[in-house]
Amino acid sequence: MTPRLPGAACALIPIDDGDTHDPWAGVAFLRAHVGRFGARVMAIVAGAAPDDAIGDEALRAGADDVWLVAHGVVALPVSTDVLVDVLARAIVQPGVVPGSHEGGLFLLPAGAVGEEVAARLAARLDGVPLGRCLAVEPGPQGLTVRRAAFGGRVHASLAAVAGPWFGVVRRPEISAPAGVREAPSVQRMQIEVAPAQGGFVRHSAVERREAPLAGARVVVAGGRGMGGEPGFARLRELAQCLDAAVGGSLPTVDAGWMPVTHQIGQSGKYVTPELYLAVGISGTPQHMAGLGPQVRVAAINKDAGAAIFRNAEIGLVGDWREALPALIERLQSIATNGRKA
Amino acid sequence: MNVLVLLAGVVDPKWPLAVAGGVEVRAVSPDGGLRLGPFDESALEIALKLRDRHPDTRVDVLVCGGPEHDALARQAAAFRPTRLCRLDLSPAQRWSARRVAAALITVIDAPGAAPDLVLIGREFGDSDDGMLPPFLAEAWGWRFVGMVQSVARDEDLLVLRRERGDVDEAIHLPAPVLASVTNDRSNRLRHPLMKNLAAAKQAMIEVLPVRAMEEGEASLALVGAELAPAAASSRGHCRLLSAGSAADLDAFAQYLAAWTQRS
Repeated sequence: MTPRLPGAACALIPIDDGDTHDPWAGVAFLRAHVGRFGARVMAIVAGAAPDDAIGDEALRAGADDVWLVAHGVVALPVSTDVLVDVLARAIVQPGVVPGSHEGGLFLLPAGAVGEEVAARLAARLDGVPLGRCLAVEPGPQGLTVRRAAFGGRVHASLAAVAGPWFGVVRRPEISAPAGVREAPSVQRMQIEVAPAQGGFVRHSAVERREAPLAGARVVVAGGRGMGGEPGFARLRELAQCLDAAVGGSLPTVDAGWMPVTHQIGQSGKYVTPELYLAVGISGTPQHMAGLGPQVRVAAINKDAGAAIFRNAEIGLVGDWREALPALIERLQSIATNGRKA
Repeated sequence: MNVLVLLAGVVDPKWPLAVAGGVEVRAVSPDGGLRLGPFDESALEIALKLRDRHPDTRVDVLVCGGPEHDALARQAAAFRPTRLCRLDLSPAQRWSARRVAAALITVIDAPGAAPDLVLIGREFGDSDDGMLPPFLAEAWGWRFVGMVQSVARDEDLLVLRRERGDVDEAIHLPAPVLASVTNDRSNRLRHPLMKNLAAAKQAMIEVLPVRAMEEGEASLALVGAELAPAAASSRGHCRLLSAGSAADLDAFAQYLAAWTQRS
């Protein structure tokens, strides 16, 4: 049966948001899941002043039609109130979304900002919040969405008959080729933002101890088994040998050993390093949901039966208290010999 | 100030799951396996801290779910909320954010006890991955602050704190506010007093009925479920080494060192 395609397939991009590490994920997702049916993929890019280079980037990412929406608000971190206001007004502007937005599928990049903006747009525009979509399948009567539930242990299929639909996505594992696109377009609009009513925000810059997880080639993460701050101090020494970023599982944040900005897992950051070294982490599905599918995993755990080893390509069974100092010494020796050679 | 804490519960991860009829997800446990989730606990602790500091703070608790959630409600009762309710939402209804928002608005708008602050976990139960709280706020016309780690009062303003990238934000807002709460060292749920635990077993839970959904009313309906597939084949087949062996430690170190040498 012929699927009924959404009226519009549109990626919404908060281009100035520093916490959105893959702004074009929605474009790639739509190209893979909807573009294959011949639908055009739109991108609405909202920022203080998105320029031509951003427009070109959107086209290279796979968008057919791009709207650059300038709102002029330069303060960072970007306000989600501003993003919701600007994107809602852009979506309903005549001539932006072909036909009407009411049958449209709108996707933002996964992350705290994307999830909030998508949900609030759904409420504001009488739409349906889809959640974090693993797959979207147009059908004869609307969409079927697949997403994780029960802490990542279940994949649920959800039917959404009437749009508009708003969700968040990560870049799909397999990208669809952009192919030859007819008449790609880049257009611009300006939307003025009204000053915020009531309340204010104070920011205090904090010197973060941890290097950012996003973009790290190697991530070293500690779990409950690290036992406390001294364990993480050792972990940081190891991470330094590997030029790695440091993260932690949910229990380590609860315990105050790691900041919530470095929590990895279903309810934390999603990381895609080349190598992920898990130390004292049992390997629950909730934690593993924070790793990209192509990530190579190594693990250190004193329990040979720990689930983490079923997800790893190499593992060291033993107590980190002995293993980490031994590894640090060896890595420093390798580095020194390498410099002498 | 009136604070309303919304609790959903999650299936304790220690219990395996099974899918019945291709749709219904159940914990393989003797009693349903529900417990307060980490974000439920954080939301409750923030409310309790506000009450500690400001004795004029009223804390109401609303558990969203069917009779299987009564045990959860009794856990919350041990912290002596002023009002303890259960909103009788079915599992099917909990998938539809619109349905949840419509059912909750009757509580939010109740005369005499309308909340100034609603606290809800950043993920609300097993069927939500973070979009329900901001949807609720926007649907009600409330201010929303997500990923909150602590809340304080500053005269007639609420001060909601969170980490965001390279900054700590202190957001000062007038009520009403809906805040989704994330886990933090400062909001780990305390242990209840033993005497309150005992009293909680007899606690009265006020059940608020919810109209059954009409056919086609759900904006999002669960039509299938399956246990998540095992990890990708690129993982697994683990080469296991022993930290007690010098040769194995050498091999592991060489494996790690190879990553620092790649360009």
